[in-house]
Amino acid sequence: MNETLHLLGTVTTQNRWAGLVIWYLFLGGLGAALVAISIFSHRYYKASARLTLWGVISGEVGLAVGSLLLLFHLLDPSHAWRVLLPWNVFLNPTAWITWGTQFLIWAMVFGLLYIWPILREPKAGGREHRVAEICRRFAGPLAWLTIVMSIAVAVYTGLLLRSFPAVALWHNPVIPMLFTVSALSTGLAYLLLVQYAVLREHGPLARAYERFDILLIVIEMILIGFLLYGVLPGSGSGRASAELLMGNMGWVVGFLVLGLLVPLLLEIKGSLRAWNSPAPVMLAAVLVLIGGYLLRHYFLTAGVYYFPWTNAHHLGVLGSDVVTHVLH
Amino acid sequence: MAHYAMVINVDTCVGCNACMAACSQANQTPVWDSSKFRTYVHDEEFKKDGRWVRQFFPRLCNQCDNPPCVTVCPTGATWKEPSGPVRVNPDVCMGCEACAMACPYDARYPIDREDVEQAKAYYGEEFLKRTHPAVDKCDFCWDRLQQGLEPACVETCVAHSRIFGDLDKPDDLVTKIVASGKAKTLLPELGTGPNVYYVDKLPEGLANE
Repeated sequence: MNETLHLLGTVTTQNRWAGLVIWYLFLGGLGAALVAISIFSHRYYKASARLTLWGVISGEVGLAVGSLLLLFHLLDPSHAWRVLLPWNVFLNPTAWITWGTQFLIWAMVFGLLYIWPILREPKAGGREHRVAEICRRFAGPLAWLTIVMSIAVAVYTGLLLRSFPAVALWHNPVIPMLFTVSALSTGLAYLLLVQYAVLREHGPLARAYERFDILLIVIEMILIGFLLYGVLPGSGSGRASAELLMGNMGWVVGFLVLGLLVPLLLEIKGSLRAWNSPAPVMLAAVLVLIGGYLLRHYFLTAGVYYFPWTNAHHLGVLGSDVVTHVLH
Repeated sequence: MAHYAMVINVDTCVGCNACMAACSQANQTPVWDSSKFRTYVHDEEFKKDGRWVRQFFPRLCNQCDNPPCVTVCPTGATWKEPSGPVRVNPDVCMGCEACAMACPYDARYPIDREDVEQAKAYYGEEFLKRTHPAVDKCDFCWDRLQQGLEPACVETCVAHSRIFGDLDKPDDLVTKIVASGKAKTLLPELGTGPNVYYVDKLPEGLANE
């Protein structure tokens, strides 16, 4: 009689981090990218004051709304004050949420200080005027502090998922890069929408944004290809995630085709020979934004855990409805 | 310093679920929600050598040596005791559930506001151990360990399927079983260093201890 321990297995997804967290990851990435790109463009590419204000304020609203959603997701939001304290990075430095919260707070604070002199023209002599003067004098360091903090927020949204070791789709070095590139791409798409639909600024900056977005979408495609065919086949969890993704029309048609390929083709055509109307650029931008959301939606819902037991008559503490296989 | 560990002898577990009941009463877990247990016994069936076999598979937190749930906690609400158990302080936890996402063993679950309310009626408001929503998990019955008792699931196990001990004591049965090399941990490839071991049968010579 064979006396080795017989372990069975279950492969399952999770719905613990779903709806609100997906919106947080999307809005956090989009908001951070908007703040970073807007301030960089204002400082080095003479972006108009109106575009800068639109970008930074929309970005800050995105970051604030995203954080609020996350707060609603907590079991006890009244305990969240601990992570807001700046010295929490010394108390709990191993947790990415610790760092992400601080990056997010300081990106918002420095970003607001940077746009303060653009936003308001206070009367000379008052206290507000002095604050504006200081912000103007230190605009360079403020811009870079904001840009570094914002990019860190975008990177952190990926690092957060990377810290969960059981799920191959998340626990890999590609995911922080992918989420950062996707965040920047959605940020550019939003700014293109503002330029074309609201401010009607069809200048060289808009064309530069389009070209940069082409580059980002190509990098995003390479990263996704590498993840799906280079990283995921290495484990049971990864293979199950790849199957879930490639077997899902929402992922294949919604994200890969409509969220990446179509906007890429529209933007390449627009940069080779300009469109006669702004509609195709706006369509591409809307598709990129929807794609950015879908990427996060499918990445969270297709993360697969492998448990060395069967879930007979029990969906497990994770509470997921999707139990894909029972392995023997 | 102690190094607490548990061995589960799958061969003798009869699936009576007394461990689940004892645990839920000792730790006031939300028994009204079937997905929220600190320990759970899975009822498994599989084909072995051409015959169908029924197996009961108890599981709980593995009190990992390298717990991924602790490193992702942004509030410091969860930590590993020097003697092994990984604990949660519900008065500090904000319930982001990053720890539950990080755990490869599905050992953590949320106690929400409704659970706390229901616990008042079920366990009695004046006896309540937990007054805040927080993530909950097995801690080898930390309070009982402090009183020199074994975890409730171990004490109640009629089949002696759950064996508790201190790996720093060479004479403990757990230490001998682990030293025999027959005991396996779950998902060791992840590098978590579990302290819950599984055997199909007790090694020769240890069965009568």
